[in-house]
Amino acid sequence: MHSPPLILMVDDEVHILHVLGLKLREAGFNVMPAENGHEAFSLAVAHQPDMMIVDYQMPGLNGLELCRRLHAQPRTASMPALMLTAHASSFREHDRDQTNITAVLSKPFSPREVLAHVQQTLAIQPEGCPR
Amino acid sequence: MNRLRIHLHPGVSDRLWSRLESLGVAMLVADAQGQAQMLTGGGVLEKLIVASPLFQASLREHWSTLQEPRPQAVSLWPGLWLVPLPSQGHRRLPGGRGHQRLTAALLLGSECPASEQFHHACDHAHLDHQAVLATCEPTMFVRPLEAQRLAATLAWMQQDVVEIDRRSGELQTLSQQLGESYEELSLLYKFSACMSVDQPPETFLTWGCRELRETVGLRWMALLLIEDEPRLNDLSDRIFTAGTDPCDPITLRRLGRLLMQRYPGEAGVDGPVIVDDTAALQLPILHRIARDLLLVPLVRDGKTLGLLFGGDKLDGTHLTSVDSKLCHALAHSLAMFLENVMLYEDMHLLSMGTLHALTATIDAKDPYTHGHSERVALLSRQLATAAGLDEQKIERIHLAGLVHDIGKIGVPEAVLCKPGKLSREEFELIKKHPEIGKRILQDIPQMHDLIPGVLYHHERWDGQGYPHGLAKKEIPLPGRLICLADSFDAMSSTRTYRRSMSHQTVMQEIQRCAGVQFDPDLARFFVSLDFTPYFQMVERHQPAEASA
Repeated sequence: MHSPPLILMVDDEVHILHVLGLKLREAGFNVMPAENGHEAFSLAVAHQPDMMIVDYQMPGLNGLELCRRLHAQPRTASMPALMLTAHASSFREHDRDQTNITAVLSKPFSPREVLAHVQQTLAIQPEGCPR
Repeated sequence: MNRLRIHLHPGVSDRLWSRLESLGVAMLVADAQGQAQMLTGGGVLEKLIVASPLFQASLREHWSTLQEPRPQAVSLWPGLWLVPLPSQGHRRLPGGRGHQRLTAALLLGSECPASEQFHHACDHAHLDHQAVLATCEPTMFVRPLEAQRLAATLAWMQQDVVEIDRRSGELQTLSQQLGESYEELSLLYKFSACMSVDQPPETFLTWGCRELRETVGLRWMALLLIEDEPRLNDLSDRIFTAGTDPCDPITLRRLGRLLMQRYPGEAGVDGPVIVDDTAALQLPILHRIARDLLLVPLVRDGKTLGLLFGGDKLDGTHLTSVDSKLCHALAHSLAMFLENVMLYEDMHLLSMGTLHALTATIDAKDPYTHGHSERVALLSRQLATAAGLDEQKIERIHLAGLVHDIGKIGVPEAVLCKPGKLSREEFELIKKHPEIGKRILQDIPQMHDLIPGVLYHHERWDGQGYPHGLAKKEIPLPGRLICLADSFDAMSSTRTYRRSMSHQTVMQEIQRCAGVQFDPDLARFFVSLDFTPYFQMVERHQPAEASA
């Protein structure tokens, strides 16, 4: 039996990790939380999650830079990322270049929409995608 | 949402039970009669002991001590201890002593096998005492001091596990509630963002209905607006639906009206109502389309504007107060939106009424020009449409046509109504009316965009017009448009200074003046207009003209 897909969540606001974690676990996903960009980078490279949900604004390594670095890593280059941002306007379309960001949702986001996006993204993942 | 944790083992969390099981500790669940209902982790000795009448009698005898909140190793007989695992929060199970149960760890000391009571247990089971002992490992026995320490450790473990369970339950509940708040906040945010967008109200109402249905997770949702509300315009009595259509729209609308009569109507409530079993409402159509029904009246300042209603959660659960709270908040936004629609309509009617009153004042000064402004507005609209302008511009051209002569209010009546030829001075007075019109309108910010049409409707294509003598495309488009409409109506009506011309003559005159007085392109559009609405309007203006 296949193990459920693993989702890496990165947000410096811990309550968001709880809210999304609960929603995703209830839907049958495995969830791996990280509270900052550096922690997320190590976890992503070590565990190669199926997908990442990442906050844009984080101290230290911000969400966009994290996505760029992971996209540059062979092991995580194809991992799709969903970006959450409180400042939709400060995120420009060309920021997606050199990343694998599949969508951007602005805060306050709806957990239901995040889940729908994750399900949609993982459903269209090609077979044999690296775990 | 509060979830009651269902425990496999009464009073003890699954977490503690599995930990003790992996440590090889024997655990017992017994009733107040001393009968064991479950024994896990024990060997032959434990099974023999638990089955013996002496153990059961002893357990009954120590029952009250074993129920004490502070766990301790209670010695039942030499080398036999029970460590009760207190239930979470020390709550008693309902049903009195007869239904009480005890969960306890069972510990054996080295004195146990030699005890008189154990001999008795072997005899009761018809087993040889020595043969039973031969099967036992000596290491499984604990010393009295160890039994007490183990009891204390178990007590701490129990406390910790209870605390962990409580906290993780709390965290889960909080996260759940926070998640629901996030849904609510996100939807409210989207609602307020969409309300400010300039789009037809139908689009917003359809969208709102759909978003709400998806967030609450309902099979269908409908929004019915009240009948006979002129200020809602064509939105009045409209129904918007989302999700799987529960029945045909006519039936749904009829049902909505019946529900609206009851809520808030007869029930006198202006908040949301959850109906758990629609059969109770005795509306024959209803129970076929929903078991659970959510009703949210849209109320603003005590007046019902509509009803939001939807049925059956997609996940099969019942509707909760969280659902109704969310719908209430959104119903508030929807009601506010509808009120804005009505206020906008009020404002529109008021400004149109004012404009018509103003122009009627001008037309009334000169009986020969009665209805002139309305007719110029009509023709300007037709010409703007033929020239391919967008709907919003056409609307503004229509208004500019309506007020194009507003400046005549500042021209003496004696000059305006003078039969025959005007003197040079008198004509100079007449020529001031576009400028006066501009000055009147410039104090009304909402009408600033009408000024070009008013100020330049007497300019000519050849630059010989007034007030500024602009030529060709220097003249703003509204000015060129209204000029044609104004001249056409002037030539077609009887004026103080001449009789009206025939339609054919007027059309010839327009064509002759194209490229001289009029924009030639617009003149081409103008001569191919359908003049039926114009002549109908002239007819309507006739009786008043005759009586004037």
